[in-house]
Amino acid sequence: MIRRVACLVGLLVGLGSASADPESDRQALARYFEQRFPDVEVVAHIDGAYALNEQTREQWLAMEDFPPYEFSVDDGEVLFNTSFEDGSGYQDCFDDGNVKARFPYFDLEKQTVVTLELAINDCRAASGEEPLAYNGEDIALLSAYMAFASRDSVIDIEVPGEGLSAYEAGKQYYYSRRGQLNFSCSQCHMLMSGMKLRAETLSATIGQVTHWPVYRFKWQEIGPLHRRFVECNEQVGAEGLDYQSETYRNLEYFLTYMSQGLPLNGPASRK
Amino acid sequence: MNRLISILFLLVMCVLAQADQLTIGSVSEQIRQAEYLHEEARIVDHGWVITRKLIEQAKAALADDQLISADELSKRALRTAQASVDQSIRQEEVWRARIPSS
Repeated sequence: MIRRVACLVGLLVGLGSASADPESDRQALARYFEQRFPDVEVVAHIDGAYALNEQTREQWLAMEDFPPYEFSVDDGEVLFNTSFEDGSGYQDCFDDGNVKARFPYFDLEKQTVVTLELAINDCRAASGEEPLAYNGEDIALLSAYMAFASRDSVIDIEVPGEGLSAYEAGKQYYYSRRGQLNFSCSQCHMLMSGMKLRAETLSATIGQVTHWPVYRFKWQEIGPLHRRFVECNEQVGAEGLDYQSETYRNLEYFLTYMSQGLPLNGPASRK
Repeated sequence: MNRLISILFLLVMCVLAQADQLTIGSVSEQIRQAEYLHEEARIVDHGWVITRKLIEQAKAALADDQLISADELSKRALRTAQASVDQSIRQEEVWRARIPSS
């Protein structure tokens, strides 16, 4: 009898953890980083690795005196205010551009995760315009401007019941090992966060999506989050996926919920 | 002395026999199997960069009539492709263990 009850309890606990809700996941993750970095407030993680290393933070703050993404924001603003051929424009879809806090969201009609980049192309399609290449410059500039317009807004996305499977898929991707080096995202950005990988400090999971797009000195240009996903994949010997593929959008959805309630601070510069 | 020559002769024959077994068809089949497994892994987002490179190199070696090299490269591709599929199956079972407890 006792064994049966124990089995039942075990089963219920197992089921509970298997279907944990996003908010429980977020709180558990926040607690994980509070314990791992007791001297770092959760909100400070929006600065990524620069929240974890005082010396590199000082260097980064010095770089931010003349932010390398400044011209991208200006160019993005020009694009944002340029009308489409039919006379409509991005303002008809995104008002003044301060909308990033609500992206990505789960579109109940399309049954898919809609990122800001996807919405930009949806906006264009609605006006008969050709879509922008997801790995192109224009979409990075537009999202840089919209990230700037959204600065200090607090991430406020929802995961409706129908969006749970997309959220779970993103979560599974984050915690699964892949590539020849057999690494998961979580190994670098949870277990090894704060440690050095060659000369770089590894950032925490929380706050990872708040500052995109990013001007990376390695790229010598501003680029989207999905470009970083590809790079991370390839660094562990896994094949990168297409920008805005369903898998990457689901991953962005999961990561964004993990940063729910944090202020946006994009665009940013990174080494 | 005659005995030594006989043994050497047999050894040479064995090597030649092995080489004879290598055909364009057999190497092509290995490449095809590696491609199939690589695709299996890719479908579940577990493709490895090294597998793609090895498959490309094996194909190039085969096109260049470098049969022994193509054979070795395709065998390596097959091994890494199988490892990536194994990884995807294993991760399906264990990924939840890495989630911080609520």
